[in-house]
Amino acid sequence: MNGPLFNNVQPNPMDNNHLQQLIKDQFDQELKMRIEARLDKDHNISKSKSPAKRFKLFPYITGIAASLLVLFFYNGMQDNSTLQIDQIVFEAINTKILHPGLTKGDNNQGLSRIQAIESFNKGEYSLSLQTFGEIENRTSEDEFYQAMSHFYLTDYSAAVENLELVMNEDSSFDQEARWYTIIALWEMQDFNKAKDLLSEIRPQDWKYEEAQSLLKN
Amino acid sequence: MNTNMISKISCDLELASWVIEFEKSHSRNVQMQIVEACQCSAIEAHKRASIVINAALEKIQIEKRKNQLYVTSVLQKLVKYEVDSINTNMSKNFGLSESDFNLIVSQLKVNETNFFERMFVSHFSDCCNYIQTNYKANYDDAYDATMDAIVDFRERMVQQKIRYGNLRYLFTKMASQIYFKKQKAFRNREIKESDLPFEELKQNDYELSVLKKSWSELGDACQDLLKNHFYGNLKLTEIAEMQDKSSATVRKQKERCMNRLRLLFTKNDKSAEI
Repeated sequence: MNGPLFNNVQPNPMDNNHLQQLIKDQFDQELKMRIEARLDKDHNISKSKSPAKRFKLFPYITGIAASLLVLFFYNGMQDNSTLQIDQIVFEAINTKILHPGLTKGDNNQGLSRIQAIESFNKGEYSLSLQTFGEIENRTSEDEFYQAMSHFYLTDYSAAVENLELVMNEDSSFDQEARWYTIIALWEMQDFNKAKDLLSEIRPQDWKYEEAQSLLKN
Repeated sequence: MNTNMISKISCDLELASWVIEFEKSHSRNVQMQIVEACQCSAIEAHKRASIVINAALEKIQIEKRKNQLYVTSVLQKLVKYEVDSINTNMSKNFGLSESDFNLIVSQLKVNETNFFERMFVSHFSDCCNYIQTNYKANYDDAYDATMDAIVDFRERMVQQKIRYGNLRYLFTKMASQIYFKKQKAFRNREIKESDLPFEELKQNDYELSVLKKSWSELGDACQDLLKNHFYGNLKLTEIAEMQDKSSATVRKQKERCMNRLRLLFTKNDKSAEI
């Protein structure tokens, strides 16, 4: 055993377990290579090369870039703090969240829920708003995403009304609902109510830093 | 003559024979009851009995028809429920039915990965987008996490640790966890990077290149056996059954193959040194 593999303290490849692991690694590597080739050939997806879909996003990216440019020039007339607020609100409105899909366990999810989730993730918010409303035995998750459909349709008063339903400590969407309510109130220029909610965000909560920035200004 | 017509004629015949049988078995009885109850003539009783029988037949047929309609509506409801349930399940499982899933598992065990690859390739970008959007991951990191999740998923499928139910959710969660683990490992490595020797980072790549060469010299029978056992997670007893050999024979064969692979590994490792 004089080869380079045995000249240091690495696991001994002659050990059964290590050899088995190497065999597994070899086939995992081959599987990855086959999948990479298929992704590239059939879907034009490869590492360091985003899918063709990126081109479909071109108008949106251009739009966002243009808005950022406007913000940049606007900066000349404002102080940094105002720009920071604008950026936080801008990001909250333009970064669309996605539904993670149906939750594990329940095999009897209705078709309405599936359609609602699909339309939400496709950005068809009018349709998702309608289909979330048709779900029987609605959960707080359904309420939240229905409210977010209002939010992305810029119907902020309806969004606030719906988000308030899931804004309680028992709900797993409490922090998200609070944050998007604040943004909606901000857009509706109801700054006093928004600031009341901002002050409720604790240091360990989601978006604490952004909340502090908004509060300071 | 199509099957619907044949079926209708057969129904009509069945109904006609049932009517004749009904009349035969009940008309005499009804006639007797009428005679006993009203002391009328036999002719009158016969006439009245016919009226009773005809009315009874009509009523029974109406009830039968209602019953058929009820059965049809119950069946339609059950079919709709079943279809909804299948559609829901399939949408949560990459469009696979439970039998498709079981087929993929059995194919993976003998290292047939075509169906598996096609399924995950078509859902690759969804998972990538999810990680990018929800965790603000960059594209390459999301790509790597999704790819690693596919490899893990295959292993868990052959180990039968994954059950049909909500594969899409499970896959997305696995990819997310891999992404987080990698991010954490990356942050730790940034601190310790200066302590790691360059050789150590290259070690696994070197070992794999030696294994690759040794594997190619191993022979088809040993390659199949070791791959099915270690990668397809097939038990030696299952391989023995497939090859129509005894378990002891396959066990010995496996040992011989492993010894041979070790020898080849040593030889190729030495030759790499030279």
